[in-house]
Amino acid sequence: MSPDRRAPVHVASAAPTKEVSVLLCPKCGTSVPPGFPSGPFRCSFCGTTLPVGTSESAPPVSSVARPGSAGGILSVQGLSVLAKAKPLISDVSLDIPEGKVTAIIGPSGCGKTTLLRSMNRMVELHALRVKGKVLYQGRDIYDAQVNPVLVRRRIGMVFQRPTVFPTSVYENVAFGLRLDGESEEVIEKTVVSALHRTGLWDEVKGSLDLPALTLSGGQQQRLCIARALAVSPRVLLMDEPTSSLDPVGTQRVEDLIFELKNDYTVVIVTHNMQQAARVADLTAFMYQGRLIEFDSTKRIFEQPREKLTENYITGRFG
Amino acid sequence: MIPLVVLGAVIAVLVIASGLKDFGWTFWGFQYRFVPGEPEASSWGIGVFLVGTFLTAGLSLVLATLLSLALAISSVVYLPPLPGRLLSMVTNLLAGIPSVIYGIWGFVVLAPYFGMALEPSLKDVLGWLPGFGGPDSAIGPWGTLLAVFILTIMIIPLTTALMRESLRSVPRELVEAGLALGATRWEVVRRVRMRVARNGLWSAVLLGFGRALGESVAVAMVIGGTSIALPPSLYASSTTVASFIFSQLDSALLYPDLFILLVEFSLVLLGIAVVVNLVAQRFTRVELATATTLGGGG
Repeated sequence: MSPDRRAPVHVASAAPTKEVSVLLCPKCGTSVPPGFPSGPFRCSFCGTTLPVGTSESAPPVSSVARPGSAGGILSVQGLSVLAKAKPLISDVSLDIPEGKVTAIIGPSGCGKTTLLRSMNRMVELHALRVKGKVLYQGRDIYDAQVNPVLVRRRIGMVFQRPTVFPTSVYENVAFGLRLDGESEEVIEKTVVSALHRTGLWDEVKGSLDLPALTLSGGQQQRLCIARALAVSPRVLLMDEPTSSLDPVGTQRVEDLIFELKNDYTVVIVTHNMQQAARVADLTAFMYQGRLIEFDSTKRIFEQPREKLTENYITGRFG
Repeated sequence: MIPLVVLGAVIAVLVIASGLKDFGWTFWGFQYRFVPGEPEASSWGIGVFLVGTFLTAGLSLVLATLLSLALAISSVVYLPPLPGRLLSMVTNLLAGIPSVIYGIWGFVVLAPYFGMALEPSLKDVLGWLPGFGGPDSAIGPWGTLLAVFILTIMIIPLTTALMRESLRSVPRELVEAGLALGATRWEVVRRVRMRVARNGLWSAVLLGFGRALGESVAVAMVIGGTSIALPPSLYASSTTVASFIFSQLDSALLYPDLFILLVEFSLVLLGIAVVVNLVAQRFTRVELATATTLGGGG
C-alpha cells in the first residue's frame, strides 16, 4: 500500500441547510429546542445563558450559515486515540454529513468502535488519550471549555447490547428528561412521542409501568433508541446496534434507522457489510486503526478506490 | 432459606414457651430487677435490653450506612485506582481488629473525649433534639453514644465491603448508557448504580445490623451497663442483650434463675439474628436474579 492510500479522505457534506423554526446559540451555533422561549435559554452544548426575550441574540437558522455545516455536522480532523502509547486509531479525518446515515465498517479490532466513541467523548471513560479534533457544528468537542456531559446530550449513543435500566418502560425513556428536571407533562408527551417515533408505542402502550427487562431483545434495543431520542440529540451514534438481535429484531431496527435519518444524523458501526449496504448513505472502511476509504455506500461496495477495501468487501479477509 | 425458617420457628416456640413457663408474661416487660436468692422479689423483663440493643444498633447502622456509602462510592466511582484500592485496604484492615481492642480503645482513649468534649458540645448544639439534651452518664464517661460510635466503626468494614462490591457489580454498559444520555457521574451513581445495586445495598445494611445487634464484648466495655431503666439520654449508660449476657455470665453460675434468663435472652437474640439474616438473604437473592437478567442482555 502506498503512503497516500493511508491519507485521510474528506467528503464534502451534501446535506442542504434546513428551513426550520429553531434558534441558534449565538456562541456555538447549537440549535435551541422548539420549547424555547418559555424560559431563559441555556445552551445545551456550551452552557451560554440568555434571559427570556433575547431572541435577537439567537437569530433563526435560516438567516445564519450554520457553523461547520460545509464540512458536515461532525468533522473528525486528524484524530488519533491512544491507549498509553499504543495507537488504537491514527490520524483519522472525515466529515459526517447532516441528515445522512454513515456506516463505519472494518474487521474486528480496526478501531471502528473507538472512532465512534470518540465522537461523543465516551473514549475518555476508558482513560484513552485523544489527539486531534472532533468538530460538532464547528466547535471542537475536546476543547477544555466544553462539558462532555453536554456533548453527550447533543450526540447520543446506542450500544451493542440493549442497555435498559431495571426500571419501567416509561421511566427508561424518561431518564434523560428527569435529569433536566422537566415537568411531568413534558416528560409524558416526550416519552409517548419517542415511543411512537421508534414504532414501539403500539407494542408497549399497555405496559408502560412494567419492567423494561420484560420486553424482547429487539424491543429493548428500540427502547434504548427511544430513550436516546427523548433528549433530542442531533446526532445518534450506534455501535453495532443489531449484533445481539434476531433477524426480526434486526429488521425493525434497520427500518427505524432508515426513518430516523429524516430528522437525525446517524453514524453506525457494523460488522455486517450487508447491513451497511442496506441502511447507509455513506460508508467508511477502517483497517488497523486507519481510515482507508470513505465514500458513498454505492461507490464503496461497487467501485472501491482502494484494493484493501475491495478485498474486504469481497470477503478476502475480515 | 428453609433451614433458617425452620430454625426461626423452633427458636420462637422455645422462647415463648420456656420464657412463659419460667418467667411469665413479665419476661416481655420493661421491669428488670434481680434480687439474688429472692425470685418473688425479682422481675425479669427483657424490654430494657431490647430497647438498648435496637437503639445502639439502629443509630450505629444509620451512621455506618452513610459513611460506608460515601466510602464505597468514592472508591468505586471517584477515586483513581490506587487511592481507591488503598481506601479499600484500610477499611478491610479494620475488619481484622479483634472487638476487645475496639472495646479497650473506647474505654481508655475515647471515653474521656466523649465525656469532656463531644457530649457537652452536642448538648449545646443539638440539645433541642430528643435524646441529645438529657442527663450525662451517671457512672462516668461511658454510655450509649460511645457504644454507638464503637459499633459504627466495627460494622463499617462489613457494610463498606458489601456496598463496594454491589456498586462495582453494576454492569459497565448500564453506567455508560447513563453517561451517554448526558448524566453526570453523580447522576449515574444516584439513578443507575444505586438503583441497580439497591438490593445489594439493602443486604449490606441488614448484615451490618445483624453484626451490630450481636456485638457483646466491645459494647459491654463502653456502654456503662445500667440495666434498671430506659436510658434518659444518649449520653446515659444503658445495656444491650448481648453485652448483658456477656457481663452477667460470672454471676449466672451462682444463681440458676439468672442462668436460665441468660439462655432465654440468647434465644431471643438468636431469633432476631435469624430474622435479620432471612431478610438480608432475600435481598441478596433478588440482586443475584437481577444481575443475571441484566447480564443476559437481549
